[in-house]
Amino acid sequence: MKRLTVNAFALESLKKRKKRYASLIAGVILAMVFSSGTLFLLSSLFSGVEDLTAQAFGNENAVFYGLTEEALADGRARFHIETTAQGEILGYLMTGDEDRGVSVAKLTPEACELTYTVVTEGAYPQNAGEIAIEEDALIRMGLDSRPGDTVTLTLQVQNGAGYLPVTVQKSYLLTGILKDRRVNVEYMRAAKSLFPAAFVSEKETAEPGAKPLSVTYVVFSRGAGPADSSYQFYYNFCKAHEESNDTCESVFIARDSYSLSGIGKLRQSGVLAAVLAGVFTVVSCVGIVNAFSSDLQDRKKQIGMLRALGATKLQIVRIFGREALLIALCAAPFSLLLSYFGTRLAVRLIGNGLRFLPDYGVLFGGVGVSLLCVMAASFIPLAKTARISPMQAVRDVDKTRALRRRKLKSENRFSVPRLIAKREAAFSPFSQIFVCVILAVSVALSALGVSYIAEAYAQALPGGADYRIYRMGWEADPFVNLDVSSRGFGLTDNDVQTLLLSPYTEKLRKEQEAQAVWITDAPSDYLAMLDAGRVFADLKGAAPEISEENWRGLLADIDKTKKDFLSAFSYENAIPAGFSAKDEDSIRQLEPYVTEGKINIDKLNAGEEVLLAAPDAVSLEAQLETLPDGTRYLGFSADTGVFSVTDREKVERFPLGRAERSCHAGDTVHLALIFNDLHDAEGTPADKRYTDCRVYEREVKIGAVLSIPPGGIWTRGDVYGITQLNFIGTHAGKRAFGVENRYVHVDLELNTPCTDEIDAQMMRLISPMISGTSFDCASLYRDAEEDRQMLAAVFTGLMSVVLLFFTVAGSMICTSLTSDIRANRRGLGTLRAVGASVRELTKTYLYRLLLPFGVGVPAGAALAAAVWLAIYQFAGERIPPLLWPTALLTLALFGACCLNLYVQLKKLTKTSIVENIREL
Amino acid sequence: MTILECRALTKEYFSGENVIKAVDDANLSFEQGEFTAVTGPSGSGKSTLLHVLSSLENPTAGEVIYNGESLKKYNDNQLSILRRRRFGFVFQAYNLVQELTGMENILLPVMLDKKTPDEAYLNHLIEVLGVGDRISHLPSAMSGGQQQRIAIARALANKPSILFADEPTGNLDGKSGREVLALLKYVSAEFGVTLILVTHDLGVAEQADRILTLADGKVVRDTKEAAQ
Repeated sequence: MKRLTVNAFALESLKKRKKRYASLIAGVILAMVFSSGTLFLLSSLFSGVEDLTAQAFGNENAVFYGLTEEALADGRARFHIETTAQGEILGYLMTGDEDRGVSVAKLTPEACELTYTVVTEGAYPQNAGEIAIEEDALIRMGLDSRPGDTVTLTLQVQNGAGYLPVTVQKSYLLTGILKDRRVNVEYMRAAKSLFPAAFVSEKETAEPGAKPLSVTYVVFSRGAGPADSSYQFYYNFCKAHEESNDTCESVFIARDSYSLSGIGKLRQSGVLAAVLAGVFTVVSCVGIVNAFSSDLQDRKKQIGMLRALGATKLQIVRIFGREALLIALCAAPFSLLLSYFGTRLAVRLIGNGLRFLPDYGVLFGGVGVSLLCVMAASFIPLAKTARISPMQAVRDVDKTRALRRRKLKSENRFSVPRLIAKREAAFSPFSQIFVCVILAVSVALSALGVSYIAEAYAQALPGGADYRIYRMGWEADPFVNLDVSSRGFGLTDNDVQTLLLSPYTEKLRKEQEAQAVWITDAPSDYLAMLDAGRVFADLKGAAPEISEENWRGLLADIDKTKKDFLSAFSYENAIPAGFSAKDEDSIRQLEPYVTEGKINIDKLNAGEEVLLAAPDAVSLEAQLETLPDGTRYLGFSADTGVFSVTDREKVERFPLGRAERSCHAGDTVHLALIFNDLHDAEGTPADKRYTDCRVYEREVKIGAVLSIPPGGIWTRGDVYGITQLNFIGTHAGKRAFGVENRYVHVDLELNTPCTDEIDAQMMRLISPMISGTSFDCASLYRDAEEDRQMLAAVFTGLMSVVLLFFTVAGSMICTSLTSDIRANRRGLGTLRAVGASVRELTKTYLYRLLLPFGVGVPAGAALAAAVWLAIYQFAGERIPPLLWPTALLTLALFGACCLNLYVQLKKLTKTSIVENIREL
Repeated sequence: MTILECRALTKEYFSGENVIKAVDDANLSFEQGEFTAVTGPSGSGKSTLLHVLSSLENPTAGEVIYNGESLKKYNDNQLSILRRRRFGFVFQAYNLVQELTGMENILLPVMLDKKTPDEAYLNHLIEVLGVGDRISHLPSAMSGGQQQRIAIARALANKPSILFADEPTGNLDGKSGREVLALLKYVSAEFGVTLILVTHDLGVAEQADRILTLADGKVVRDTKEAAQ
């Protein structure tokens, strides 16, 4: 006779109940996929995003040119330099125009690895005479070459920190095109010209008489905080070596400015991963506990019979635990495959460029952990069921006891479906509350998350512009704060016309800028404080003893220096301000910020009026910070939010004064726009910058005042941000000052979705316009693509959480109703026997279904509203609510629950009433 | 006056490949106010006959005619309405809805029909059945006899024409069983209800106006026919 073992019993049970177990296994697979698969997806996305970041910046966080061995050794010893790799800059390659070239270098294999050089087409050069160039550098040099072509270039031969006086014509075989890195790194022009974007093989020899410049790629330790960061190590290192001339130039790779770095940071801290893992595991476990509870509830009688026949509690746990293990083992390979292929598909869908870099440790570890979680979750209801006595299980006295405990008031008029639904709900209040809580959290999470993502998406893609041509750097003098530039600085009307004639251009927004001064005999406290805020901010580090009493005197001293500068313009007193001439459409978008007066385009065009953007109030505050090494550091803050509070260790604050805005709509102001056509170049000494200036004065009325919120106005759809004190007019209005100058900001929107091909064409069109100037062009197509990927990653993570919550809520509602229908067949049969139609039975369960939705959904909405208000209250951030996706998800969940109800009731009513009644 | 009849009524069940005829070609008619006991050995098809007659189950062949109208034409909804308005049921296991109190159970068919309860009638019914002190309790707080009385009250609440009782005393002790039977007889006479009662207890059957005896699904003896 065959021996009945625990395994045989469990297997036999699985075989007999395979139909019922199919849904349980599906539920367990889903739970495992959610808990392990989502972590795997997130880990893959993080790896992909890090890979993208590395492709854009390399793995180094600083690049030094001409760094000496001694300095490098000191850096390793004292300044947390962890890794280094070297190369040699052989010279500067160009096609003719000096400003449109790139540095060429040869790298050691270690440097290639550290800089994460990615060949997008062709191969990296292996022999002398071969070259690989970054895509953007090819465009920059006006080359349309592909791998296999020979390129002839002019080489300025490196001679230490400079170049040999004669150039050499060089022909190279272009072997490969590299992914752009040079364009992604923001730094000063001098360093940018040295940053290598063309590479030759190690076998390449230097030109006769040449002295290659060493390029050292460095990784500073990541550090533990702002005062102990890789930037701080870099800064301290540079500071220590700036006088010994151990380095000629250096670049810090500001990876933090890169849009994707936020996720990378979160990953490094492990916070997001840990939180998500916790949420997924807990919520999945809740789902599994619910599924197993429902199954064991159905089998209570079987357990009771086994107990009556002499099975011990341990045997019961072993038998049913073995079943749970077999179910989890059946589910494991499916969840493994689903997680793997689902993630692969998701990464592919999220975007091109993002590589699928699986971390199998996370995949297998996640499945292993979720397997353990399934076992642990199945044990909870099992242990509870095994505790009950045999007769309790056979007779299922739980409900009878629970009903006996309740004091009910008999009703004489009632709707049968409603009353039964009410009583059933009252019978299991805790599970009802739990379902409501899960549903409420799902709704709140979804409403807030989707709104946040939608807002982040809108913020990430400003104004729909695809290209942004902008001026780099800020050349203002620290005391006077005047940015005096040339009228011939920027894009001409012809350039604008050329851009407009491109077949891909949909829309162009342009802006002119001018340095303005507000000529006034007696500046108000408000204007003085705004000015002082700027001047003091530029003085930070100098740490003069500043107090409430002496700041005016200190400002007067500084003013003296300022007046010397201003004397060049014969102004006694003047407050520096910005002046922007914008397109009419852009000005109309400022309407929401108007707090006084109104925008009158006609008057702006006539030059009669200007708009003034200024904070409602300004309060000046000195912040004296003491660094751990005892250094005192002075900073300033104004409640305009322009100067932010730093997070140094110790900050003492001295309120210096506060003033409300003193200028209003209707006031007439005397403005002067200042240009210097001769000495606008970077590095021009201050004494020259203010000579030979051209000044255009005019008295205008303030048509409207725009209130500046903390952080300034960064209007989406408008071209540029406005901070502090800024006068705004139209292009026509600016001409009324009698000045013609060029466009310093241009946004271009394409009429078609951008592709690599279009991007290359547009960059070829724009590059000549900005070459040789302090202008740069940002291809927002690439940024947008990266932002999109980042948001898609966040969205995927968020939606996984939301879906998990909704799934668990749905599964709890469905399993509870399904098991109730199964357990209550006799009761339902009785109702049918006494005349309840299928419609009434359906209504009974619909009422039960409406209860969690009727309570959970409004509770979720209230929770979301409360969190929304709290965010608004404490962070001042107003996220526009986007509710339809949540409404849709809730409806879909309700629909799925209704469908399940319909199927279960259909099954029930397919059998005769007598069969139902006889279900004992 | 004939209130219910069946013609060539057959009910078959499938047990593996075997076909079991639980009711085999039954032709019967029941008069208004008549008390009929259906009896026979276990598995003779008594309960099945009752279930098919009361529309709780569909016949395999033949038809049931209520008040001259064949129930074949009725859809599920119409049958539900018929059951709640014209039929009453008393089961061996009482079959009260556990979540509802005694009073709510009694009111169930009336409320399903969305009618205003006839309070005088219901109070009289409750008084006759002697369950006045238990009606605000849940079934779980009642004895078997009390539950069965509530079940009888529920069956009569909507003033049905026919009361079907399937072994109503089967779960009760002798005394309670006798009391319930006496009540059934009394209320059917008092309210003019046709009573069709299934029992295997000959002592109970003998109190009926008419006894139908079934064996292997066939009516083997009908005291009414014999008398005629």
